[in-house]
Amino acid sequence: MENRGSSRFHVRKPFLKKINATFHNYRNLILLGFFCFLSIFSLVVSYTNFEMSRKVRVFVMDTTGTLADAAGAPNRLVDQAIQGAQDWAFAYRRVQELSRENKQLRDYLTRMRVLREENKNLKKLLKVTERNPRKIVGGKVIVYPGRPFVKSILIDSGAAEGMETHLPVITEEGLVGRTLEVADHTTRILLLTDLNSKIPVIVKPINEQAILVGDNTEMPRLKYLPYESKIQPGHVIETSGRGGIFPAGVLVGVVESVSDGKVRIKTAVDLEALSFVTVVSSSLDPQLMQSG
Amino acid sequence: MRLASSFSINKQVSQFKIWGTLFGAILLDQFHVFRFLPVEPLFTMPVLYFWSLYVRDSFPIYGVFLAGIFDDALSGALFGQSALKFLLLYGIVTNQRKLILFGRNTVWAMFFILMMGVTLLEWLILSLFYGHWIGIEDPFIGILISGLIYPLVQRGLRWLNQLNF
Repeated sequence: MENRGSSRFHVRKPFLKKINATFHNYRNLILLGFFCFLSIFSLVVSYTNFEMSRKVRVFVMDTTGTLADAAGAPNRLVDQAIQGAQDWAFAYRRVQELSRENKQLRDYLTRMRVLREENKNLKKLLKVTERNPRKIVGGKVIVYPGRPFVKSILIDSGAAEGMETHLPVITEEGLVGRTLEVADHTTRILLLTDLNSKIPVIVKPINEQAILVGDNTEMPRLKYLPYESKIQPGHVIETSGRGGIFPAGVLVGVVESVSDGKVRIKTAVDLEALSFVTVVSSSLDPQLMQSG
Repeated sequence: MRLASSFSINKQVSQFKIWGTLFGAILLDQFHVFRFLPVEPLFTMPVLYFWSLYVRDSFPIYGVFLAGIFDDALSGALFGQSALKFLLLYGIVTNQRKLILFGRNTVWAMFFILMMGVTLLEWLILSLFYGHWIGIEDPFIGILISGLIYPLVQRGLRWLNQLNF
């Protein structure tokens, strides 16, 4: 009896094992299918710009902002070390250059004060309506572009510093992009090379209007040019001011190539090497308002 | 560098090691710690591939999905973009282990092939979404660099796997 019982047990065990393994495999496949479906669903929802996805992103941005800043420390140390070594090597020459520059700037400052007074008086005479000066907010880049399909950066200024969505972002070289998502102390900036970026521009000197469209390459494309466009490599691209987000006349880049109707632009700003950017806020600057 | 499929792996690996390295890799990719290098390697996919291949039983699928969503939220990509890529890689690796572990260098070769496959699919989906072909040069450079560093990542994770904590 014992033998028969134990043999029955030995016969059934592999069978149960097989059933269990098959069930395990099917369960895993069903789970995989479910999560893939969930991902595609999230993609569609996120693409249609659902408010919920924006809120989740802003929350993650804020919670990881400090971490991002800390993670960027090795980079900054390397940059500073290189910069430091260069500065020591050329210290004497640099001091002389700066002294010369300082003297020039003092002259400019005096001239600027005189011109400002003159300008103020002339405006009074002509009864010119004053345009409201905008507040400028600076930000240090804490997350750099580099993901294959996403071209955005994160800066360490947020709503607490007066940031809002859809504000133009610039450096002294030209246009960088626009603010996309604003958390309390961080802001995501959509670079002009990103897929979602579309900027109304004007081609100088031929004054043709077009739209600059990012396609995740280093050189964004110009679309919607006039039918018989006279555009050539070397022409300058500036923002046209249409659409209300970007002010007119900000340098965007230079036409790099024109072939088969495709116009590629070399951006004025090196978007891979950004360290500080400036955001032109929509709120007014009280200091500039007072000084006129 | 040895990329044999036969090396011993401690299957009872702690969850801390798996998720710590995966989320660490996501943060490394995100914050561009190696920005000072001429070409920046990507770490998330090699780490995901390694754990999916060798310790699939300790590596739950919902965690892979959440890691993808976290990556998307952090990078500013569309939600589900990385999650789908991670899930596809995980699904193929866990279901084709015999093929991947077949020979001496198939682990490395299959990593290249799978990376190319999932990136191509991601590119196709995004191109469909946006209605035009988007740039593919950057993703393929990323694949190449990630593929080249895979043996190093594998060695590092094996070493970590053997540590007792």
